[in-house]
Amino acid sequence: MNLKILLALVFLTATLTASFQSLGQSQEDLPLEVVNYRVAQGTNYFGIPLLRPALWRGKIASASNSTRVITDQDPKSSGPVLSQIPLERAYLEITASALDPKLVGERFEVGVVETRGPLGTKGQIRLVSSSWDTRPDVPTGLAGCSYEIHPHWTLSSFLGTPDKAPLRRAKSIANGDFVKIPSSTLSGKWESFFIVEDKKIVGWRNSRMRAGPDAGGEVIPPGLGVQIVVQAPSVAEKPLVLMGEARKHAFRRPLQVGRNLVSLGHPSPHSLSSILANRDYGFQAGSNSANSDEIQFRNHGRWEVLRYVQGSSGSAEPSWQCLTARYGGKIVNLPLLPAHQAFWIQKVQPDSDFIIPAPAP
Amino acid sequence: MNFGHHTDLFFAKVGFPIRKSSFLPYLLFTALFVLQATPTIGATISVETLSRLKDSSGNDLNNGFVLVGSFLARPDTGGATAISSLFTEDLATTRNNLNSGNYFTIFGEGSVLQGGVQFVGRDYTTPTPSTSTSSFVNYIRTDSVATSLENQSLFLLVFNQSTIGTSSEMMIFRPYLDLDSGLRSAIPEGDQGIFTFSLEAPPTGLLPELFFGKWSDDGETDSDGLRGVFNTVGMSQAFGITSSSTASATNGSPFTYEILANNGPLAYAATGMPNGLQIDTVTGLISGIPNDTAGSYSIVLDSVGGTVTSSKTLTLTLAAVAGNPPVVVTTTNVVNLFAGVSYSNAYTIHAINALSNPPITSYGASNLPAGLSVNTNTGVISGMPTQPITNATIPISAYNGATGYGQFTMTINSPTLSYPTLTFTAGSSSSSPVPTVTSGYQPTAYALGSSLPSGLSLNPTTGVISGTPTIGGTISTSTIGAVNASGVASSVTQEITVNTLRPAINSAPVYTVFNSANAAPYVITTTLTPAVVPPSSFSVSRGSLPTGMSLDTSSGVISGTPVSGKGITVIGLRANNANANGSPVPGGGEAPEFDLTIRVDVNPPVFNQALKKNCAAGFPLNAKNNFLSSANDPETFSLSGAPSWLAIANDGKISGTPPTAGTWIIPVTIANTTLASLRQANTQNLTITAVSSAASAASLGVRPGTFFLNQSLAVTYPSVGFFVTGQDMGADSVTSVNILGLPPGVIFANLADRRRGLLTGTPTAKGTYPCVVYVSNPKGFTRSTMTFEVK
Repeated sequence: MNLKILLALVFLTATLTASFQSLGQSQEDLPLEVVNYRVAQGTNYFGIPLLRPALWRGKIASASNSTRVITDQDPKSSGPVLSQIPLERAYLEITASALDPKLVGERFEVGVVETRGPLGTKGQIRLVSSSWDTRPDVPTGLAGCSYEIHPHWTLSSFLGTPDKAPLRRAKSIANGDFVKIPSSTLSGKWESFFIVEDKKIVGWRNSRMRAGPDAGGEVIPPGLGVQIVVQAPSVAEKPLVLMGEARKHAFRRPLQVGRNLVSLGHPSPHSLSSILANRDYGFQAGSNSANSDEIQFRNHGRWEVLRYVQGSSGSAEPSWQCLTARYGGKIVNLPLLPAHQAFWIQKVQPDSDFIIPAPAP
Repeated sequence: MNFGHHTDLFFAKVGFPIRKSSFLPYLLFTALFVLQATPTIGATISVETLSRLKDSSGNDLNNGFVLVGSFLARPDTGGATAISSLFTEDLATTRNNLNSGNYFTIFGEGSVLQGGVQFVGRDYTTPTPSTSTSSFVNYIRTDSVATSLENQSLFLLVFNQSTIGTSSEMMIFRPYLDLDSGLRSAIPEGDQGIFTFSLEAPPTGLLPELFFGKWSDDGETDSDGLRGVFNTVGMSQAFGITSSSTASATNGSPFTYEILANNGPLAYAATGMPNGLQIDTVTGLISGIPNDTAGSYSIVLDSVGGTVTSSKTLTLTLAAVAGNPPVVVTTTNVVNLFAGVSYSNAYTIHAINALSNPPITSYGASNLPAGLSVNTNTGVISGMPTQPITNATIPISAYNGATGYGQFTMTINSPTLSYPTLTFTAGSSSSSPVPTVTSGYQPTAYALGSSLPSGLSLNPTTGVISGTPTIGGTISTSTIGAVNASGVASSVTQEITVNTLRPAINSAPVYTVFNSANAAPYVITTTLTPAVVPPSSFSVSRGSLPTGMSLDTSSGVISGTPVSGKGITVIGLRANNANANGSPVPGGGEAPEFDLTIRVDVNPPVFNQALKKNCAAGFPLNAKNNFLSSANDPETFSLSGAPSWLAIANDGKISGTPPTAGTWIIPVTIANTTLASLRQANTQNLTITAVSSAASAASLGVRPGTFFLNQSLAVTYPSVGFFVTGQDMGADSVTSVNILGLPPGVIFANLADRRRGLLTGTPTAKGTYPCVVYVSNPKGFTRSTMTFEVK
């Protein structure tokens, strides 16, 4: 089956690339979920709740922390796929674990170069350390876990090739629209990208390397929101359609101290309750911005600020309070966090274990 | 010695004071006759309080009874030792200080009140107390009976009778819980404070003596960390009236006499008084202006206890009035005034003076409330009373060489201060009216006794409450006080209502829903201000939501999937804060209507499934599988370069009959238009494979298999099972395989596996199984046979 899937993927990639590139997507395993965006003038905060179609799904036979090698339980099936794994950035995500459910959602960057070839033929996957990983080690407890390998979303796969992306091209970033991605290594820093168009050159570029290589393969890591800044005034909204697989399991998204631009991992609206934003799951309540965790989200054009406020007495339960508007009903149950929008979580303490359960089907 | 059925009593002389020692935390003495307060003897003490004793009439038992105090035995170290130490360290000392002839008995709760446990004490027939501690202690039970007294009350009775002849004489106090039934019964837990005593006639010669005591903190901490002193006060005299037995009075002149009596009588009475005198039966004060025949009066005074009345005769000598005094006329017996109000003539003393009498030269009044005075020339009482007082007797007089007396009653009321109903609105500035006060009362300053609602303030000069309340929907009370120049105060506890503002919806005026996939809900928000109580309900007040969408009226969330296609709908929304947590909110209600424009728009259509169809030459496309799956509301489907036999409808349904076998790859374009009439299109290749003839098992390479009992085919043929076609033909294969007669447990799991040619499962029975193999494709099917084996 898996070989056939791969062949089907190759076939579909060949036959559908032209049409789907205009929509900034790759389609391999159908049917797929759809998330719609509109790129409007100003700064757009987008989240990517879908997965690019899996390259491989399997079960882990063993895992080595020292060599960072994962061995699939079915090398006969996985070998042909893994040995030919596409040379694009990908990650392995644990989708189920009968023995240790806490491992579900853990992500590990796949060394596609190292895996492709002899190692992959044996049904083995080489993991490489990455700042996008959800944990630094490769626990042996991964044996028995189900996993998937997904390619990362990139600028091109999300927004489209330079000629199709809904951004205004320019000679420099100052005159064009651009994309900002939070740096995964430098807290509070951003990487900016734009589509350069200069004479016959059209391509994605990092703003710091205008003359550098094409940046269309720049990764948008899972859980990171992106900003799309449309500078031109009075431009019409441009549609953007994303298709991909829906995550059926819990989504991990480690949080750092300070502001985290978060993208949800599931394609349905979330509430504070559904993302487990409470004391029992590492959220800190206080009395002001310095000692309270906060969430900022866009409510149809307006930024709202939610603060986790300690109860007035010691025994009182902390609660989420909106500082900018008043909502009806219990605010923790409202679907305030649309899947296609990125939002901020501002943390007083880091939370490397922040995890969002999969929505009930 | 046994008294009656239940009680052993002992006597000893009692004295005082008693110093608290380690047992004291467990000791409670309730002075039932005088002291009702529970003693404070340490934080850890556990006490039960006998707050009241009643006589048989239900009155407080204040007399005719000896002391009943309760002691709690130590709860933690054993009854015998604890009780021993109780007397060793206290009553032994007490005994040494006894007056001759004083005796006491102690009994436990069980001995008297419950009737089951006897408390052994000193033999009353040997009234000479020993000064030896040990001797005294010897009378304490040290067995389980004493132990059972832990935490029970002990009662102390003190007598001044030195000899008591028989045991029955001691049974003078017989407690009953239920006087009606006359049954002696145990005191239920928790009822100890209200149990009832019935006093039988005391034996001749037995006169109880009262005994008082109370706890106080002496500031000294003992080794056990507790402190306090228990002081007892022995009474040397018996209950009775002690005030003088003689008094004298003069007709027309004020007279007072106070009945004094031992031990807190409940009431007083006097009979045989001359006219003009009266007795306050509560205080025992005889007062008034006698107006009767001069002479000697024998007045019987009664001091009434709970069950005993003590009487005494007062001899009052009443003298005649000297001269011809004027007759004071009390035309108004009761005068009501207000403190803080200045009266120029609160009362005028009138007197009738015979012409033959000397003229009246002065008037007098006594006991006037502070601030009032009498003009001795005119008899006018005037001034500004400063303190409230109720029913004060004001003796008045007129003098013409002799004094004529009269009296009236005066009540001074507190001045009043009031506001009308005060209602403010949050966020709006307004003022209360000036408060209304008692006529003549002129406040010079106002102050708050308790705070006003946030944003309001009190004018300290005028008493006007004004400002802009910040928090709406509240009803609170505030105390406002006023004072005049003389310091006379008045106050009012005023209810103040602050109405809320109506909630103003401030969420986005335009809600755009793109297609139906994962649409973001619209959540209604209102302005964040404490002036507004949050809305508790929402409604669509005009128009209606697009079909498929709904409003959660409690949370204000609009969600759902619009099914009516793209379009623009304008609706009216209202938020309502008339109620909060089920209670009405002052000023709450529906807010003005808010216009929400809902734009149901479309994003570019997409195919979300591979466009691949299998069919047979000469046969129409399979009607069950001829729709091209898509998303984002495509409105048109079109084909590019399609063969003439192929057509597509705008719902994505393809139709046609391929005339020959072959494969066609045809671009399919789907398109829609946005609300702004912008056309959006997407093209994907459709692959149609037509076969000309039915496949056969041989052409597909279908082969028999050999399986093993109870071994999964996925193990026998890893990794997934046995491909009868020799290879995985793929789930989208044109052909499909089915086999009848397979070994038990071996199956094609689903349609996809039939297309793949994949057998799975676990054989459950050995044997050779001849099977019929069907191979089909859109053109048709073929039938063949082959044999499978399970070893």
